[in-house]
Amino acid sequence: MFLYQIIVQIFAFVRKELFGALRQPRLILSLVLGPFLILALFGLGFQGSSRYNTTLVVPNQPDISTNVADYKDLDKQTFHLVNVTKNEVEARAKLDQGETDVVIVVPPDALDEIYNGRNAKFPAYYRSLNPIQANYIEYSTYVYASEFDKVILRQAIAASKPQTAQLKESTDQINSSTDALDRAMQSNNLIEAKLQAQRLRTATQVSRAALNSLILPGNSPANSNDPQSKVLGGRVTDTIVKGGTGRAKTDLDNIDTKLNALDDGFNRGDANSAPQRANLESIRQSNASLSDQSNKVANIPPAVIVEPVLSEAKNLASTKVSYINFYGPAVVILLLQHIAITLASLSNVRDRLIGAIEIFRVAPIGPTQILTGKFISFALMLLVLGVILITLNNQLLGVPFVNLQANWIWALAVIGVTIYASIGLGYLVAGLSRTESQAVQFSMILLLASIFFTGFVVPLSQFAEYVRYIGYALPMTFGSANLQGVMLDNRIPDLPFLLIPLGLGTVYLLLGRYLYRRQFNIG
Amino acid sequence: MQTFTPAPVVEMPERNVPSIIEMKNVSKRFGKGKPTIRDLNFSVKQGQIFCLLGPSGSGKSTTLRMLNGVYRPSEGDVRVLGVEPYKFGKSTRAQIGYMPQQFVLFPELSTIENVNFVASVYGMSWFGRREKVRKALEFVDLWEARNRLASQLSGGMQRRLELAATLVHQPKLIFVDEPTAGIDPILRAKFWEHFKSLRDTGRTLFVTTQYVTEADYCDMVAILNRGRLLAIGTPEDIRRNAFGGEIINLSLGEINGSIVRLLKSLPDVNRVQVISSESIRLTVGDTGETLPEIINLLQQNNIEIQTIEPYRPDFEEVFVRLMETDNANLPADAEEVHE
Repeated sequence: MFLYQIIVQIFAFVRKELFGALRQPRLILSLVLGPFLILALFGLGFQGSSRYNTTLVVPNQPDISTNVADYKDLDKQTFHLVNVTKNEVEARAKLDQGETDVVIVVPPDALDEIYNGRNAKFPAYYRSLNPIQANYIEYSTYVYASEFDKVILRQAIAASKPQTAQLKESTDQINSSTDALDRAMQSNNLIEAKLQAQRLRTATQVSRAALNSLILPGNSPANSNDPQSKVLGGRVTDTIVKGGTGRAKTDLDNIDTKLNALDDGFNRGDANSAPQRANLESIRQSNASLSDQSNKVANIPPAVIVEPVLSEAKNLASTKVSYINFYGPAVVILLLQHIAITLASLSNVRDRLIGAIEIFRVAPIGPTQILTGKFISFALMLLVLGVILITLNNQLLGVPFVNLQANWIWALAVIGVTIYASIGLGYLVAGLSRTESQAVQFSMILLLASIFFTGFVVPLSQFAEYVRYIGYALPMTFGSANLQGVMLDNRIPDLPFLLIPLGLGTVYLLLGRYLYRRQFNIG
Repeated sequence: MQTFTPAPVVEMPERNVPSIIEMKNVSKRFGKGKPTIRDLNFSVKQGQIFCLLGPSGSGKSTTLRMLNGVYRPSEGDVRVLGVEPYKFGKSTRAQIGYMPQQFVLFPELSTIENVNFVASVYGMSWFGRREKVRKALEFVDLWEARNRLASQLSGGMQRRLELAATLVHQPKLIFVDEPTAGIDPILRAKFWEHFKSLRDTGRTLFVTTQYVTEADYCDMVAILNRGRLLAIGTPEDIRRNAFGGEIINLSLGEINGSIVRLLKSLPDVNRVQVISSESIRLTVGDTGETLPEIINLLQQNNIEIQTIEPYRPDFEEVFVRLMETDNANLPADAEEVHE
């Protein structure tokens, strides 16, 4: 009987809160439609990266066009070219007046600078107080400059093709000189042999010069001590050097050594002994190898030489990466947390302000039954709201729910623990608030903290350790990460991320009950 | 208006009627300041309407909150239903009804939902409370308005709804804090009819009010001012005590010093007050006994009596007199109680 009475008392509050909510259609609308509309507007309206209206200032020379259409190749994703002018002052004035976002200036002396051994600089001016925008613009200018450099490099490599042809010619020359040397040695004609050896040496020197002039990754003595040799890119370069130009240089060195040995033999009067034949054979083999390497090098396209290593990142997540997909589940959790805190805190504060708590104090009911009853009603409402929001997300905004049949229970678990902890936080807020406006202020502060410190906008790892604890105290930190994993990546929720909000919620509920009980026993 | 429907409380012979409320030497102070309630001593018998009368800020609500267990007395002993209120168990609380001063029910719930809610808070099951909810609403004439939202009720209906919610669990002892504040005189009279009906079923009502005229509805009245009890008793006792006895108004052709001395010579005349050149007010121990003596005395002395009648001052006059006397006796630094 006693237990039955407790249940009746608890359900008095469940009914009261549910009926109270249902009697307020605007509240229901704002609870369900409001959050969804915010989410929908966010998802549909958010474009991710920005496009900046850009003015290009070209050198004031008669043969340079100021027609925007002539520069359409420059109209890339970040910089939307809206104007081309020769008047830098006018362009920067427009920047000051907010009529353009970025001004890029092509200097008239760029080529002179390059030919004088200096970097040509293309100033880009912008006016922004937003650090994210500023970083984005600066990064974009860097990317464009790098792209521009690659174009120049490709052209330079294409221009260096004659050196490749010369290398091939030199190896052919080494080959024919080796044959002539062979004939002179077989006929024991020492003078002719020495002459052919000298020709061979000259051809070797020409080959070495051609090899050194090639523009290839790692074909520079300065690179041998490059710290990058320890990382992947460095090792790849090293491989190219060892397998390409490095091998060729070794072959040339070997030819030189064997030529010296032959010369020594000729000076001793040994024209065609077995060791001399072995030296000649070694020269043939090295030249064959050199020829092979030069063919390889000649076949590398300039684009590959400029970018020998291309990244090929593969996202192993189960769904396509997009802003609406990423933020959809996080916004659901954010809204559930905010509504839970607001509902729970306002309900308790309101009971106190209208004086209902006076009736409860005198009645045979304790704070635990009151808070339990309210908890059940809020949890039911929020659980339904969570399911509706996820459904609307999925059906109307196209946010995927991978393996729904298996994972819906996990999504409910994630929502459940988030609601549990958030209602507890709401009770704590109620205990700390004297008025309804104070409760609303606390709720808004927690909403702001949730946006900044839970990984919603900025990853938590980018904050100092002590700031991260703010995020760790908010249910959303765990709920949003888990719901994203469940919905978007077919993952079972991270167990600690389920247990931590449960623990937090229990602490908040106990603190909230303690404060509520203190209000009960005011005398 | 319906007769009260809840089951009557078992009535006891007058001499055996127990005190349902007892306050002995009770004081209450908040923080380290002066006590806001000082040395309260009174008891309330079962089946009485006990009124705690006092101006705004006199300490009525504080006293009520000590009785229903919200506040704990700083000194003294409070017993309600034989228990110290701050130690009330669930069974004791179930015997108490409390109607706060302001409307504290829920505007977004209907009339019947509000009463149902309070019934559930008292642990009454749906089957157990159905009939009682109906009777409570009928008792305050709100059954027809049961489906209207509380926010759509008039101020008077909201007060009646509160009364229904207070009565739904059929409490033995009912605390009512200023039930008639801010409502029209007709509805006020109806409330007192309700209270009398409840009293007639053996229930005890502890009512606070600042309407002094309502004292006449009560069986016992205690008058509180600045946290102190000025008077306690039946309305008639208080009236008598306030003026030092009963009052007789006398109109004569002409009043002079010899007439005043003559009237003062009567042993039962406590006070002679000249109102005008033709009228005089006498305070006597008992009107029934003294009135014939006065008539005889005046006739023996050939003094013509134009009118002579007992005067029953209304309670407002009684209250003002008590307040004036009290304020005159109070030290200058006495403070108002903040309720």
